[in-house]
Amino acid sequence: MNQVALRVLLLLYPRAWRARYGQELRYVIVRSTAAGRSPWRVGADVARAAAVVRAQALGIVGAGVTRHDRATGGCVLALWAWVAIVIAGAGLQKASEHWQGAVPTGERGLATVAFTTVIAAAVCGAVIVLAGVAVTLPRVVAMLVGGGWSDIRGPVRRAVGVTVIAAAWTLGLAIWAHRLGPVRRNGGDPLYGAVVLGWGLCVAVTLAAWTAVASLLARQIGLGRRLLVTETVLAAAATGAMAVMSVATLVWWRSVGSEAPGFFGGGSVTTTVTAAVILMAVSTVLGAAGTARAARALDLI
Amino acid sequence: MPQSPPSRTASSGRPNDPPILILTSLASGPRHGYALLQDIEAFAGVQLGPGTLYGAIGRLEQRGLIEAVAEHGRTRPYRLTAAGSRVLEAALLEMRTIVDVGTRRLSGSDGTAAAVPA
Repeated sequence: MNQVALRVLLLLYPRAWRARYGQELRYVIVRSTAAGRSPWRVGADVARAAAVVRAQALGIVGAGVTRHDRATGGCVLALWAWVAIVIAGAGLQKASEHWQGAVPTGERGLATVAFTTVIAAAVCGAVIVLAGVAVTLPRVVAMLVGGGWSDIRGPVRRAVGVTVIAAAWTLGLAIWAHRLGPVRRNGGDPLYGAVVLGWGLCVAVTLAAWTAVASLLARQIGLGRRLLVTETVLAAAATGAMAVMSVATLVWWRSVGSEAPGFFGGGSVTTTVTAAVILMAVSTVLGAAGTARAARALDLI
Repeated sequence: MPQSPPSRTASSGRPNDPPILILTSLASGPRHGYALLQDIEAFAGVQLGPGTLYGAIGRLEQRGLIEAVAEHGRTRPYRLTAAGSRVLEAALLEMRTIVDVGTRRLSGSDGTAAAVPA
């Protein structure tokens, strides 16, 4: 295994864990691959274990943390699930552009209801998540005033950095798109398509970076029981919105597919919608798992 | 009289669980990470990945079941603590109980030999 791959694998772990076990793990990886173990299998094992360590650090998995940590971790998992469904929803929004034009006017009823339901549930979910953020703001301000800035400075700087890149990318893309015709904007220009895909990834990374900041804050500010109960109830409501989004998307997909099969004739639309539906389902399951974990930790269920 | 099952310990589980394998390996003396991998493969036939190994080492150390000995070059040997020994004993007792019950039932010596459905 080369040095770059080793370095990347170790970077998957939290800094504190790396400082404690990084050198030993590096040694064992090198010895294992030198002894003939597949670098791919070793790499996959290390990546999976790093994800588990990170999830444990967030209190999302593992019984060895306090009830408070488990409840916080459950709410944080629900927040990550929401971010994932937002990304899925953005993909669906892009893939479903102009679907009304493909379905005969008299046959749009069910698809329109389903699509409107997806949007309404997304708006409700966004309001719920914002409410969840808002109720923690006094604690966040108190933490920052109390000198807690140094604990979150690094992740906030990273998040600001990727936000600036995403904003510049968005601006450049908008200017370029303005100069292109509809054919080149809708699959006719592979370079434009690649840049749009890169932009989507950049936005996803930006969302993830800010969510990482929120996860860190949730652990730093020490939410009390009352606040955790509120967050758990909001997580349950957001999970409900995710479930509605997932089901309504499936109904819309089936309805448009039966009334206008040609709309999904293009490979990229089908691929994007399929990926979006799968990600929505996974997000909903994760949201439910996080909510259940928090509720169990707080003895609500 | 039926034997009451031993209470489940923090580490109890399947014999192939990484924590059980690591505690068993350390029962014969301190070992560093790579030596643990080799020993576990030799006595259990289980090839743990480096990530799995260190994930389990981290959890066991956090719970005070193992501890690091002085650093030795790029490696750091670990040894079993008294709490780790107790947990391993309890886990082995639990496994032995299951082995004993299974063996007795297979041989029919406890009078509960399973009737094979027609």
